[in-house]
Amino acid sequence: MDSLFTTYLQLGFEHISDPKAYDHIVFLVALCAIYRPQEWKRVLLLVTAFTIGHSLTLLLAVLDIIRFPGSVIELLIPITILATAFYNVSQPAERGPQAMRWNYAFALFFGFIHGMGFSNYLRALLMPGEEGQLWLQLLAFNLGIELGQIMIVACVLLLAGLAFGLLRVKAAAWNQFVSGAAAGIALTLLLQQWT
Amino acid sequence: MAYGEGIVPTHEFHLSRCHINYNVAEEALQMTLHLFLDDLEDAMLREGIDIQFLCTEKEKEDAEKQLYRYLQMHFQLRVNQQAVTYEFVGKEVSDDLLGVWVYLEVKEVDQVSALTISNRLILDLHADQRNITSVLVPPGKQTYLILDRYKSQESLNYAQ
Repeated sequence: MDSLFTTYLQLGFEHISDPKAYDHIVFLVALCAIYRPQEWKRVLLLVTAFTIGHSLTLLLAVLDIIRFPGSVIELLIPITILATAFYNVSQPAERGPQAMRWNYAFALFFGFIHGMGFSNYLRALLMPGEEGQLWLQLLAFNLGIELGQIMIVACVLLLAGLAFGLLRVKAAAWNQFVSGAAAGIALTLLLQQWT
Repeated sequence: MAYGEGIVPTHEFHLSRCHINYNVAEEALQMTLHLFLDDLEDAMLREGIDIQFLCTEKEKEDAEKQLYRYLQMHFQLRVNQQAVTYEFVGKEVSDDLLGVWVYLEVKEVDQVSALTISNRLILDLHADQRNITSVLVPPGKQTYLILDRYKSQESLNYAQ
């Protein structure tokens, strides 16, 4: 027995962390592949930029201002993963603050695309007669997604820390390994669109 | 919705919505349900109900009767500890054509001090099916329930 807020918070959290819909997870993994654990504040900012992006398209879709066909989004999401992975491996080992700023822009922009994906889910949750609570539903759902994202990136940074500390993996090798794995999954997802 | 369970994450989600509202003026419990049509037909098939082509041009003549029969099997209410029978008020297809809105009503309910909801709709079909059920019995606050295979029934108390 729950309130609207906790229910939508839970639904948002579980939606992003659902292992069966792992494309959002893979994107987040790719997004933080070029960061070291001590850069966690930047990753937090990055994830928040992503949240701002997907909150916006989610809002527009739920208000019925724009609507996106599911098939197009399912094509675009793996492309965001591929683009992030390629960007990661094309970066020099030592990046200046300018390059860092680009990451936030990417996260924001790719957030728009992922928000379209979330919107199809949230639309199925909204009921007529609850319009007055729409803002609270959106807020709780987005917060749930944000918490789920933080959990996912925390796991990635923890794994990176273990790889660096215990296995003496170099940061550049870690980036290539994680980005390569993400790109492979994204390619598989893309190929599955045609089969 | 395309099926791609286990292999492709297609954002295929297994979700239904149900809103139960006690209309004080009409002394009636009014229910609105949203069910995805493909899941609904599959779940009905599991109960031995032939495909009804709900909300399409091919919809069978007694499709609503069959739907009502399926609902009665898996969606039950107890008001003030008494099992009640709801009427089938109507249905309409959702504007994306993927789902159906179903309207049900229990008449002559002069007060609600306790309400037990059992929502097992479609739960037998998908392990991750969740039936989000919200309940509004004025002057109480709206309550949200996430009903699933592990917990498909909940009792609410409104006694003053």
